[in-house]
Amino acid sequence: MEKKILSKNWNKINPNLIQSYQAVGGYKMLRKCLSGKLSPKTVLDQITKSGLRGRGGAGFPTGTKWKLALESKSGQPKKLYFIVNADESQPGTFKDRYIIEKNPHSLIEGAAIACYALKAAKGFIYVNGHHFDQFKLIEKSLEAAQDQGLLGEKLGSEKICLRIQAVRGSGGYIFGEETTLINSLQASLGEARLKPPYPTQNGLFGCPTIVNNVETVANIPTILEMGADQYRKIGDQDSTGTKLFSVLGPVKKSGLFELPLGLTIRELLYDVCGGLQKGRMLDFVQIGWMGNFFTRKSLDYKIVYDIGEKQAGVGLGSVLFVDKYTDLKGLILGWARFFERESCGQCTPCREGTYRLLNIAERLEKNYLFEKDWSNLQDILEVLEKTSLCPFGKFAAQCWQGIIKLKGKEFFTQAMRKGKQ
Amino acid sequence: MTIQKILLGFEPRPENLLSALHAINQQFGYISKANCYHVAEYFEMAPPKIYGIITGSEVLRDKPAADLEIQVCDSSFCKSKGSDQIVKEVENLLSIKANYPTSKFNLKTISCLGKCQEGPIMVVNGVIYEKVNPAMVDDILKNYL
Amino acid sequence: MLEITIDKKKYQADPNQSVLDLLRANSIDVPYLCDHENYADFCQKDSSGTGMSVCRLCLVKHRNQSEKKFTISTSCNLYPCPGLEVISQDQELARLRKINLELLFADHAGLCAFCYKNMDCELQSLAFKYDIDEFKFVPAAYEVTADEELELLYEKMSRRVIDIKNSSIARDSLKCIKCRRCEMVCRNIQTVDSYSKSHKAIRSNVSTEYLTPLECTYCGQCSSVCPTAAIVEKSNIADFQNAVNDPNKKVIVQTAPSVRVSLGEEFSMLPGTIVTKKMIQGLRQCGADLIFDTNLSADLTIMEEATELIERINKKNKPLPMFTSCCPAWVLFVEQHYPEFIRHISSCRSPQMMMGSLIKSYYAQKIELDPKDIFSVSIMPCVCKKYEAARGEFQKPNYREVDCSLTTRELGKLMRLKKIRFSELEDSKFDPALGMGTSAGAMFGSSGGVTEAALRTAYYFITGDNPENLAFEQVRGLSGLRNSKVKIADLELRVKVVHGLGHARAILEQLKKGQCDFDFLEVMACPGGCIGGGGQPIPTSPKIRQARAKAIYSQDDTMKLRLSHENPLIKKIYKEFLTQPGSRKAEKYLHTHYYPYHYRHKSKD
Repeated sequence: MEKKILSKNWNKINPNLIQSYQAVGGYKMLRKCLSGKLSPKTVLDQITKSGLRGRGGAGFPTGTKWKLALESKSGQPKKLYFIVNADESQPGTFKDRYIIEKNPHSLIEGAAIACYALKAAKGFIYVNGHHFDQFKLIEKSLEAAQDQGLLGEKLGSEKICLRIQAVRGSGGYIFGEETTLINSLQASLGEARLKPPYPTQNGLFGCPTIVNNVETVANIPTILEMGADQYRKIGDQDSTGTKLFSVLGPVKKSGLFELPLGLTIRELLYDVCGGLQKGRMLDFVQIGWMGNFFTRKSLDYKIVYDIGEKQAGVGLGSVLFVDKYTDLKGLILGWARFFERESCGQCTPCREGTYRLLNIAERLEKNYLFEKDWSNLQDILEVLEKTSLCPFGKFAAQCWQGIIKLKGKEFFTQAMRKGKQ
Repeated sequence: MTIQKILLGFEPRPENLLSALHAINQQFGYISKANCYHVAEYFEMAPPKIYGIITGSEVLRDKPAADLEIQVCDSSFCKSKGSDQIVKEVENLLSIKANYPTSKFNLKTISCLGKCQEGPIMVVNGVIYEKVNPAMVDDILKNYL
Repeated sequence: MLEITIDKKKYQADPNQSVLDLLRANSIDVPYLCDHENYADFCQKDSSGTGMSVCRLCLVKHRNQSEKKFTISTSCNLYPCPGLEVISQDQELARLRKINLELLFADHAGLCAFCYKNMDCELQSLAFKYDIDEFKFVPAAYEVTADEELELLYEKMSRRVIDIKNSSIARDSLKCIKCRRCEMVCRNIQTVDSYSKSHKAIRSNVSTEYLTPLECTYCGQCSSVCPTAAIVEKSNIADFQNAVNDPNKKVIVQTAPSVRVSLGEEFSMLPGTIVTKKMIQGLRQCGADLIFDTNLSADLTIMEEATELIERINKKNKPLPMFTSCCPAWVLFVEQHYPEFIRHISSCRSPQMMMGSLIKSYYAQKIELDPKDIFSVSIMPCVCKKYEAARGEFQKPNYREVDCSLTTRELGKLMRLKKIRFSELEDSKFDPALGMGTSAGAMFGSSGGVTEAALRTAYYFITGDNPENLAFEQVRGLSGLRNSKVKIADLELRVKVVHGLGHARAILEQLKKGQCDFDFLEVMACPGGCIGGGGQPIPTSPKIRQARAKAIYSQDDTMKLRLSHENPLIKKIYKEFLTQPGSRKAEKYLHTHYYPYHYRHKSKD
């Protein structure tokens, strides 16, 4: 079932050595670009044709995003910036960590090709502030690439300038949101911006900016190498290619897998992970983001980007299997703590709402809910979903709504405290 | 290294602010008020905004670090593997309370570090301990006390 | 202009103005706590766009022509486009607004009764309107200690910063709802940038760096936009009342030119109602013994300032251009941010301090009273005047020249405390000893007024004649920056009039680069000048400022005395006491010195 395209060289190469990556054919595509054999237009066409979609969760077509930014740049004396979002911090997701730790040069090559194709003034790799080792590794790899004449000023026959800077991020989930990341890079507070305008129109320093996920960028050299048509054949109609899945839970084999998109949950569970551990019974599975739950009944759903009939959104590709023995209330408390801690505190529903949700989750775990908690919960979830400034608020609401949909009101009413209120 | 020397290593452009703050944070363990003014002057920014950036970050500090900095992941997956018991164990051993730092100890609950498979995760003074269980906590902390 | 539909009615909309502006202009009721009419004065805009539309109350439903479904979004960042259809009121919107309001109000539960701004608070009035249950959510913040250094308990839920260290502005973070108007005003209008949001999530706090006590220009714009009592003027009402109750003290009050056109708003009168006579009677009922007019000392300022300007031009004893000095926040701004230009500021005291000095010297001698037995109070539209009154230069060994300064808001509050029925008050007059001003002095209340008054008198000083047309229309108006050239005999005077510290900073930056195309610069720190001052009644909006300015200038049209140098009282004071403008004695009593500002808390070591 596994299809190793992105991860084909992992464990074969030494991530600390650029030579090791070059030995397996690395930087071939970048060299081709620099020597003028691959024009920016070809790269753009190939990426568009491959149907590559953003691996950061939203699944926006990468080629379209690039075109939008180029369009808003054209005819204006503005610069264009390219940012790699390596600020992975969603609980239960570790795909970017693997890419960086196993093969940092694939990311750098992808970023360099993107900067070349977009004629970006500068590229940034924004690394999660918590992961200093990753940051050091990327910085070292950037230096190595520069020594090899792959990055820097006046490269190749065309005298191309490719500048990429690694930035150690602030540390925090909210910085993974693209506008917050841009704000953090331009020395503003770590808060989300209002959309529109979108970063492709008005991003870093007011210039058109593209923010792509690590996995998206790391896919670029692979796509160019195998050709867009070949890449399209993998995966599903509208969700092409492979995706890294971080699988957790009481299954026989958990961890990171590279799988073609469009597989069913059943395939994932039984073919890839080898089924549940002995004596366990599946309650539900969470895919992509918190609150995207699927029960045993929907095992035949396809894992793709779009959400439709018999389709399960893939999101970030994190999968959590939850069995009947899992402490569900503890899980909710974990989510609530996460959202309460990571909210940026800008808008009312998110700042106040996540804190109230944490209070409710704490009482829920102790089976000590107040009677008004149920109606308060409904109220908070509604404002979080409908009125919060950035998608973070919606995420915070979704995990609760998923539980409510799955378990019904009884789950909460049973946890109400007994006796006199 | 003095603060001036650190700052001179960075071009005073907005995108370098974070890197400069990280460098100061690493050198001195935290970013003091005086250093904040130096940074503000160098990058031509208002000090309150820099303070906002420092406090909005989980990594940068506005107060000196405690002698023993302990961080335990408490979001969903580590929690379901029993990180709460670890927090309690540390609280009992050091007689402190999580997220109420003293000058000696600082036990902080943090969000996912992407090491869920190896969880629960405990970080002591920057060293990551994987698959910690409550019984191990005493042994780990002994190395630092 | 394009046509959009709101609640099935057609409206003409400007595509550069948000839907909220349109709703406000058409008095369609939509709650909001973070947007403010004053935002129209933004002289710079942060490209990051954070801190805007954070309250999430001004929700509307909208759809484009092409869309079928309505989407909910905030109206403050929604801009009209052709065929836009907006629903401003329905049940769902009302419910969502109410929940958000409840979340904001949770921390205020049970605090209203002893709050400084009780019954005067935007949040509270919205809570009334939306029928908020006080105790639906448990308060998140509890009181904690805030000692000398404003030490915060780090990472603690219960954080509260109380800052009462300066003499102008008092802050209490417990009441803060993080609407961040103060931050926006301070950053984008005044460019002083003293506030920023710090920390994350529920622990967020809008504060200074490292939670140090506030040290800024004290213009007070933050206190005038704060929807709650998180930032208020530091109240001196108690000082005033103590003095009134002290039988040994003679309480002498002076009232600033712009207070009389705005005080009425405190008693639900229309903006721009001139209430001079009622105000005087009200003050008498509050216990003031004598009431003098700051317009008089404004005339005095003009005499001195015009003399100084002509001296600077002719004798070249001090550098040109000359800056006005009647706005203490502006003076402090130069002292703090541009100390190299200190010598450009006119050495004249502000009208408040001139009057304070006259009361405790000239008038005290006249009535044979020890200056320390006089309690001198100023009613000002400004919170920075409190700072100015407390400045070291104005402290005498055993008395202060101005003992305390009340803002317009405080006076309104005081009168309400005294249960004075303002609209039913009889008329009264200023006390004659120091109670007659000209309309030139009255114009100090509006931006451009000082320049206009100074030009009239300078014209007289140079030519010996009064100008034919007294109204210098070109310096009036409410645009941020006004340039003008005035020809007086063979001298061409280039004047610049600026309001708002952001615009002032832009000019000083130009001056720093050596680009100087003017001789005289008038700066008022607040948008619109004193009529938009930090101590003026809340709300203050461009429209209200316009009404107040109109009232100020209407006085100029009706008054007989329109020239400072023709004020008989001024002539008398010079004859009896000061000899002549710019004399030794005038220097001693009417002039002052400026020093580069040393931050107490912002040391780098």
